[in-house]
Amino acid sequence: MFTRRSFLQVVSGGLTANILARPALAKARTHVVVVGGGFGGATCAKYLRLFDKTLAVTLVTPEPRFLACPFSNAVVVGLQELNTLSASYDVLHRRYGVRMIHAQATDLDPVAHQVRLSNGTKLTYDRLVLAPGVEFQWNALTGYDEVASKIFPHAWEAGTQTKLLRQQLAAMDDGSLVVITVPDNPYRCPPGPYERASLIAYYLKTHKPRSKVLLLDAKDVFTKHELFRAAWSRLYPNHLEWISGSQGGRVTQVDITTRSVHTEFEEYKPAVANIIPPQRAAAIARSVGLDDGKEWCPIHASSFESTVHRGVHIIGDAAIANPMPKSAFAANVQAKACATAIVSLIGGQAVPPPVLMNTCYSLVAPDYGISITGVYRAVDDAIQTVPGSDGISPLGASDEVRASEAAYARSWYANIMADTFT
Amino acid sequence: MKRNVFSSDQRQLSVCLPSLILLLTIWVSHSSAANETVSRGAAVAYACMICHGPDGQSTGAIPSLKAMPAQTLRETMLAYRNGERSGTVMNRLARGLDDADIEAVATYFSTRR
Repeated sequence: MFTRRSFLQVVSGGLTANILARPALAKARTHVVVVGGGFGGATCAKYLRLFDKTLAVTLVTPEPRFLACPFSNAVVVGLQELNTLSASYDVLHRRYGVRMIHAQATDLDPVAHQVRLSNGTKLTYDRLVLAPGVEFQWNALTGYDEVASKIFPHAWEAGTQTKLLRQQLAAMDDGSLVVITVPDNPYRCPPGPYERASLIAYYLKTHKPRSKVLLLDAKDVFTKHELFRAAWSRLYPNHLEWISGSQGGRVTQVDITTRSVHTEFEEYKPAVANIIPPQRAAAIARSVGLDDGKEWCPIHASSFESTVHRGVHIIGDAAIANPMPKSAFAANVQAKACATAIVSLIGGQAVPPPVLMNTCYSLVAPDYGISITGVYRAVDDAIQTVPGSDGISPLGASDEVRASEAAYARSWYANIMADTFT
Repeated sequence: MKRNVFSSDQRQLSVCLPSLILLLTIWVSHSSAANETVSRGAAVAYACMICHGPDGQSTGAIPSLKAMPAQTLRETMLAYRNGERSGTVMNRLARGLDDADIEAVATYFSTRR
């Protein structure tokens, strides 16, 4: 592909008259490459083309179809099927003109503005957006590697692992123990483990009432913990137990040969073990020093451009965007702010103040939803919460309010999927 | 700086030339910092669409905002923000938006067809 950059390079190399005599090359378009086809990358590619149809936008993602993590906990306990999490990339190509390449980005040269892909392709970009999400830190927890995840699933990316955890729950005998282990912050979807424990408790209470889920946590507090714990006391007093880090909840080792999960003081032998491993930014976002040694990527707050390499923007779970959480909503809204910034920068304009928000719904039961929100602004190149905008659903709200938030959660899911993929 | 010069302030502009010049200067200087492709109203609306659906057309329990009269959306958001109206997430989110953003997003959705 001939980009504006390569065009200018050729022009400066003395071939001006020849090039300009050839209209096809004179029309070379600015090229933005987006790596990662999740809520961050797919949204960014779509909105870049919405904002500026003269841009050439290439979206690089390994999977032929998207599978969403939100609502995968509902799939785990059989409330809905895996195909309800799926979306096609076809519309991004057909309606918005995004060029799709299904491959892995393997290497990055921020000086030459090039990305190398697993299929051998080398893409030259004017600007690069990295939205590759997280990768698991295998063996950071002793005994937990990719092989172990086939026995003790993490189910922290939707697909085969989701199905495996679902099958194990369905197959276990009544009267069994389920263990979920939760790492320290930061990790993808902060409330996810607690929603999962809630829905598994709901499943056990409904289908295997002599069973129990044990939540072994590295932390003492977690997002929406007041709401979750109040709901657990009321809904699942006999089916869910949470053990905090200071109470011995931190898991130290797993052993698939003995099917055991170890904490500092205890050894558990659960029928089903769901190990959520420590995480970090995916490899491509940590290459060429983009993570600055932090495992996650520092960015400028208004543009989401890397503080390490110019021309590279990082959005979604891989970015350090505190106090925004690593959520689907955050990835989508960051993608729009990033696309706006890129269009501005390409046009030689100032980057406007970004609009940044978040809302995360969690289901404690199928008809019991809770939420956390925040609105953010960029101040002195840092993201700050607008006072008063952050908070959780009220404690002690009525069942009607909880049911309405469960309905809003489902509506949110339908709408964010439509916003990203249609 | 608040940019709610669209309604009551506009009436004052028509009768007060010095104020007109002053406020237009402020408005132009504010606008010149913004991207021409993505207006502030659109930028706020794109965040709203994550819950309220593409172009404000929602599927499911969350209400649609598409083509909602600007006055309705503006008054609803202000009522959420000052606590006169009770919601689930909207009281909190409205407190994160200033008058100018509420005005801009209300105008944006009112024009969507």
